[in-house]
Amino acid sequence: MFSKDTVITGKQKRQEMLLFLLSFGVSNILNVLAIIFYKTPFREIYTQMFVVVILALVLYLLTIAVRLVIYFTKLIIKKK
Amino acid sequence: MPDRRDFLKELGMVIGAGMIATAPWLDVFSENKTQKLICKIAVIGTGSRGQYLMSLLVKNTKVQICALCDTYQPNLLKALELVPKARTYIDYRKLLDDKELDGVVIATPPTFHAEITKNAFSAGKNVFCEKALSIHMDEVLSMYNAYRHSGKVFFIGQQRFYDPRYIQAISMLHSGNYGAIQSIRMNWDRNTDWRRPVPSPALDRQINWRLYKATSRGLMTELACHQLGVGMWALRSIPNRVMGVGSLIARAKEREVYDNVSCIYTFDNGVKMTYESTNSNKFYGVEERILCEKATFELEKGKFYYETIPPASGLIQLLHDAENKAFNAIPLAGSSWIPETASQNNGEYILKNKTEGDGTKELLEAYAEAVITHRQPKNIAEESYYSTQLCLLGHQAMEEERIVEFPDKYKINYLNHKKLL
Repeated sequence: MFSKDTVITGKQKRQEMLLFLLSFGVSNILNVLAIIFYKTPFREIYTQMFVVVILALVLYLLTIAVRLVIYFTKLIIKKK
Repeated sequence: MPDRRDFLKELGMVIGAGMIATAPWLDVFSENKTQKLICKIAVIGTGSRGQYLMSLLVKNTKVQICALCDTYQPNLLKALELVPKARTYIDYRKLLDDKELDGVVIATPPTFHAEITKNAFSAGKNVFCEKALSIHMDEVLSMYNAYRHSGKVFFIGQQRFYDPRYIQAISMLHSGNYGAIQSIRMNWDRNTDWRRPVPSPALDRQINWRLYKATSRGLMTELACHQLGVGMWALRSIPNRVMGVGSLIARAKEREVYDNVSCIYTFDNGVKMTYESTNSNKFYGVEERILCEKATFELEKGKFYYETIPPASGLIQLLHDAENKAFNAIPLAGSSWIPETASQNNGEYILKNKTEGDGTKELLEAYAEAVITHRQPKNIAEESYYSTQLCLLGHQAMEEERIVEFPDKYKINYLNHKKLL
């Protein structure tokens, strides 16, 4: 599904999927660190999954925002 | 009609050994199917309460209301609209001669409860009698003794014992998970004069019986009787001492009974059960609050509140702290996008599913089941017996303006009481 070329190339789809998985991984690590630091029950690893997913989405959207900024900056420099 | 398992499941209650231990009277719902069986019932006293009970009984496919009795014709005619085919009587004794009847529902003023109940038992009928059992403690005892000798079913109109919120709440209290009960506080406040319009002054005392000392104990028998039993049920103990003050303030010109009462019942372990009620302010409504070491229960609201509010999850706290650190340096307006950490104790619901009604429907269903299966549920008569005796004792304490001990002669073998031989 992710290797087939559609409007976005298969390579780009895999890249975005990896970025999201990375964001999800970072969110989970943050969750575990928060549990340790704030001394809350370890069952929050799964009870807070909804918050983890939301956070992962936010982090992923942030990567899009950052890449967009880099892209348009490069575009402006090129035109100049 | 559902069997016990369906009944409890519908109410969203978790069935377990703990539930039956908390409310042994739930066992009335036999595992044997009784869907196709019917009990034939008469209603004695077809005023507003009687008609309300009838409105529930007619929906029960296991109940057939065969006869009605009331000395006040307008009430009888109104009740007949619900069951047009029912036979009607003015004299309840003639009704009791009806061999077809399995049981009666008594919804007359309490001054008639003792005589009708005892005669019903003598006639071999099962009895559902509205609360309070009587306005005299010795009559209450005589009714209980008549029940014990009759071998028949005896239910009293104390619907909280069948209200799912209360059953679940008391089961939670009995689990010990919320700590020992420290205090019980009850109130029932209304702003009403209780007075009903009468077609003639001669009927005032008959229709407005709640307002006069000869026929009523006012707030104690009309309201407290429902609630005091809950405190006893929660603590599994009967208080042995009561003090109280009653007064007539706003409604002094309209009645003889108190419009303002305040009683303190003391249990053997020192726990106090306070009861307050007024007829001239409804702001605080009705509530039973049971205060434990680790939580507080509000049974009417159907909620409980932990003493210590659990903090927000670690991740939420982390995000909050990060947001505060990041934005404290930048003067930005607007509220946080991160969910607030817990700062208010909104409590949790005792029952996940919202239930309708106040337990009266379930109570009547239980009565029908008991009549059909000829099986008196455990403890329900005793719980109701003491609910009435406690409210009458409170009234006595207010009248005599002294601390009153529970009289030995009215003790029966139940909980921490032993019957005098």
